Amino acid sequence: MFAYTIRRLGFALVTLWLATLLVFGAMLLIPGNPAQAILGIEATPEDVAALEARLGLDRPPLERYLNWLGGVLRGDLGQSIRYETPIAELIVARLGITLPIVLISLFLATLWAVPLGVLAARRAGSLVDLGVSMASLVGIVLPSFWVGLMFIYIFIVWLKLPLPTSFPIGGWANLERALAALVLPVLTVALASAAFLVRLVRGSVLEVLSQDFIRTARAKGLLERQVLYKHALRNAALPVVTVLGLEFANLLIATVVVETVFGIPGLGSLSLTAISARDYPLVQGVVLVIAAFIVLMNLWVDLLYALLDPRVSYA
Amino acid sequence: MPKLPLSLRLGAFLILCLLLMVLASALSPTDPNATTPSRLAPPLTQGHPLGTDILGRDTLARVLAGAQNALYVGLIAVGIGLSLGLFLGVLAGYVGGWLDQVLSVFLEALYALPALLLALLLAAIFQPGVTTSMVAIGLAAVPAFARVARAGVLSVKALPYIEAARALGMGHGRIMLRHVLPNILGPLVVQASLAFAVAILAEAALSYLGLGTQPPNPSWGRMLREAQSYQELTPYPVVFPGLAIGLAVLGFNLLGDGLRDYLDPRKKGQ
Amino acid sequence: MKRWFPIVGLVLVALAGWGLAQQRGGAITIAIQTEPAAWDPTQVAGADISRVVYDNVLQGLVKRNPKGEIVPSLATRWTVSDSGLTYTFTLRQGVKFHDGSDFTAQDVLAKFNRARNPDTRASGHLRPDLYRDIANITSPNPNTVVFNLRQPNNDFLFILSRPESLIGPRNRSLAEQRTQPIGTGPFRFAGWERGVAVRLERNPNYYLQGLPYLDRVNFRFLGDGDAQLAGLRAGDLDVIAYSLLPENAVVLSRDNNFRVFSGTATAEAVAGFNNSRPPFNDVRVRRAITLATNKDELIQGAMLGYGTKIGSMRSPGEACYVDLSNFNAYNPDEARRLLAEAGFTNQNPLRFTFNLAAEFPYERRIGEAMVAQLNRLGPLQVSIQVTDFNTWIQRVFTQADYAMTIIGHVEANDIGNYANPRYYWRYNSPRFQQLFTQYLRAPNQTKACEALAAAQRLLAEDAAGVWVMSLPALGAHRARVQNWPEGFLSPGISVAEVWVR
Repeated sequence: MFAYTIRRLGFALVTLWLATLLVFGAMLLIPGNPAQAILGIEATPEDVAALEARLGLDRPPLERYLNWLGGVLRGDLGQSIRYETPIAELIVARLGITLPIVLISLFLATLWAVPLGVLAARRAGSLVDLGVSMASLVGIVLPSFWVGLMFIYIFIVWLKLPLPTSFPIGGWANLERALAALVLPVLTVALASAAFLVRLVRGSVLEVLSQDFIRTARAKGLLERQVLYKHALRNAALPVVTVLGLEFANLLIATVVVETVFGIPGLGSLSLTAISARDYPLVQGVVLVIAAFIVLMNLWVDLLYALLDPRVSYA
Repeated sequence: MPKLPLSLRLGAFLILCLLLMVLASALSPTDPNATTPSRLAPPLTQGHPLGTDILGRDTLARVLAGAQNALYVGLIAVGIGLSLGLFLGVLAGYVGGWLDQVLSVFLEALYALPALLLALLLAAIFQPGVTTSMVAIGLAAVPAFARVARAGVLSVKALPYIEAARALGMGHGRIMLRHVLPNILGPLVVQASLAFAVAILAEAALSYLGLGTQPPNPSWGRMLREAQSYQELTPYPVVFPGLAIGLAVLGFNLLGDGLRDYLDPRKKGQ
Repeated sequence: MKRWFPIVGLVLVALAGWGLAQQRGGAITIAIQTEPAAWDPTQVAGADISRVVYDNVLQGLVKRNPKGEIVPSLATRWTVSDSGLTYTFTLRQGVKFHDGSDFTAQDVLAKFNRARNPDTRASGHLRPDLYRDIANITSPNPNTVVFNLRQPNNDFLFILSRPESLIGPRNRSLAEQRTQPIGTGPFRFAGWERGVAVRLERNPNYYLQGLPYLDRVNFRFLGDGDAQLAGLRAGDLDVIAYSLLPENAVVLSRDNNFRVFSGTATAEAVAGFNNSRPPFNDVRVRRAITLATNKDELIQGAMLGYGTKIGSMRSPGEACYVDLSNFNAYNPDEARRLLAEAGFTNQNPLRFTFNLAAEFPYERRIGEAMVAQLNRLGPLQVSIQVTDFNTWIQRVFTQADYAMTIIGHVEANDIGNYANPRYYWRYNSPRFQQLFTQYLRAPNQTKACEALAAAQRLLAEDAAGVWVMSLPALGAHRARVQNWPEGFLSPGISVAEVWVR
């Protein structure tokens, strides 16, 4: 197990390093002169040269990459061109809005998906099962941002619920309004995620229920409830728990889009601002941070799997 | 001949509908970009079965043209993902050794960059547009295809008849074409169908964010973005493109699931 | 007898309070469309910068009020010599900047010497060309500043009322002023929450007694029309100051909790040609495009009837306006005839690309609808390219690498841009340049207006652009907001006298 952990950690580090290479390398593909593209309006050659020097663009790419990487390792992602402030600060501030949405949604999705999935699996083939499966299919195929738009129409236009649809000024300092502003976005993201998880829970409970040790347990005369809770669920939990980690990545991406629907100043809006302002360092920073989250979640999933699954040997 | 799974038949039906939409769009006399004085007409208005948007453009014509756009983007993106993924996966699986390890790490790294992230990167570097979004969606699909191809190659490689072929002095290329590819075709088709569904969703999301298809070409995602600002006056220009996305994604998902069940040897004959 | 005095005073105060009923205190949040890159209009261009800071944070010698009139600000009065060459300003006394330092004549001198420095890299100041006519600036006594001009300039007071002419402390660093501007206005700049809002707070030492009424004012960056509407409904926003989508105006005007306000602005939606290049160096083609544009339909269609038809580069609210709205009116047959004359027919159509900037909802919508009209004609095949505003600035505005585009020109009195052959329209007409100089140097208002009228006519005859409409000035506020400025003709959204119930 220890050796596996070390190997898996090393793998994650290599992956992260490749991601930095990709994110940095992509910026070398910018057609023309990035400084010119950033300055745009009536930029003189002197202005362009000055910005090039400020961004370090006058250095060879390898040196620039090493400088940038060194900064990244120290938690310094450079300076935003658009805002003239440290990128790390900007990203941390936005994560403070995006991450709560992701985490609350994931929590809610699990809360809904597990009982529904178990119910559907226990009554496999029944009308209940059919209903749950159909509902989850609908949730999977509909784009979450569209569902968000429909929620705005239903809850705000139609039912006239007094929910704010944009994050308050002052952010979390204005706790009540901040929470109210997150109700619909969280609902949107959580529903999409629950739809996906229900299928998974149902599938893995069904799989476990068909296995020999369950038959044995039943044959021993254990109550159906005991069979379910003592044996089936415990075993079915493994794939579900690990998938939650992967689902985190999906949710992070979905949230980035859903933020736009609800006017939430999170990572999504930051990246769109960065793109339209041609703030290349900021784009690099945002993409790298999201990629790092995904890599770390994958790592967490694999380690957890190794730890929980007695059948897999990693010696 | 086992009975075709229900999901396969349903999926095929929905995709047939999608193709008919494209055909209808090609044959339709209504220009999806033409503005008319009849603005924000509700569905079932004379001449506008699904109503019109704020500029008086026919929603039906735009939804149909959106189907064309979705299929086009999906085809190119899946094409990129399939060809690159197949190449890398087969290479890794067939050659094995250190190349396999390096490629796996590389693909794992790419896996950490979903379509949306790649699209953000590409849109920043080049122009946001249909090309950058297709390439981004395609690249993001590469690891999944490569994984399927590699697994398939590994399972086939050990089979006796491959060794026999090699013993007979058959070249790598011919072994690949004659014996390996036909054996991994099934899982690849399943993966392609599922990737198509993902591509349609991703294209819609990117266009919604303004990073995908650019006007005047109608795209379902962009229609949603535009109609969002006046959904209080009429929800229909938001409703229909969303439903179209849902049905198209459902179609490809069902097709993929159905094919998998159909091709799964364990489930055959059930 | 003396005893009565305070009582009379109290009664008077009470009466005044009863009549006006303004309440002090409270806060409002105002939506603006974009988040500017910085907050000093002397260093960075952008209409939303001025909307926030002009007359709220930073002030100039004179200002334009919401009706577009030039009125005193840091100068209490001024005189102009008969020759039109000397402007003498009397400065307001006892004014302090937000950092506590005194506002003095030295600040004015430093500001305008910086402004007129042709080396913009050294000065960090935009548009030195505006201040070219200044020969020197002196301060004969601490209360007075005198500008001596090289030649008369009819626009001089207007220039002093521009956002570029706002005055900050003379020792303030440019970088600090960009992110944390300091001025003399009724509000001080309290903070910038990136991506969300800027916060202004009451200037407790404001020189006008009793003003401002509000304690705090937030300007919230919300580009999406629907997000603005939802914010207003939910109470997160109190005001959508401008660019309220026409469809949202329709919705809000049905609701008693809100007031929709509209008026004339100086924003012309200009579908501009690149006049220097084929095919638009041919006046027949330009006229044909104008004739193929059904402006009434665009106003009714894209803007739901909000907007005023115009026929040249001037809005009805501006001085010396000439109504040319029916000049080159919609006439598809004549458009086809002219295009055929220029060699373009249904079989051999004229193909070109129409550039749109993604961020501007009015212009994008008008542009898309206009392209649909042009494509309906037959001999035209127009495709659309949408880019973000920064790319638009670079490709279209700076390099003039485009055929046709559309954008709103917000600035008042911007017809002069056609006198600049390097401006992105690349309109080079010596006759027009002569007329505009005539206007600038005219000895009196009548002569100035005559020249400006001729200039407007010449532009229309030359079809140097398609002036589709004067964009509507549309906004809305919650009913609790009182005394919202009427009119859109100031560069700023001045909220000193706004109060809330």
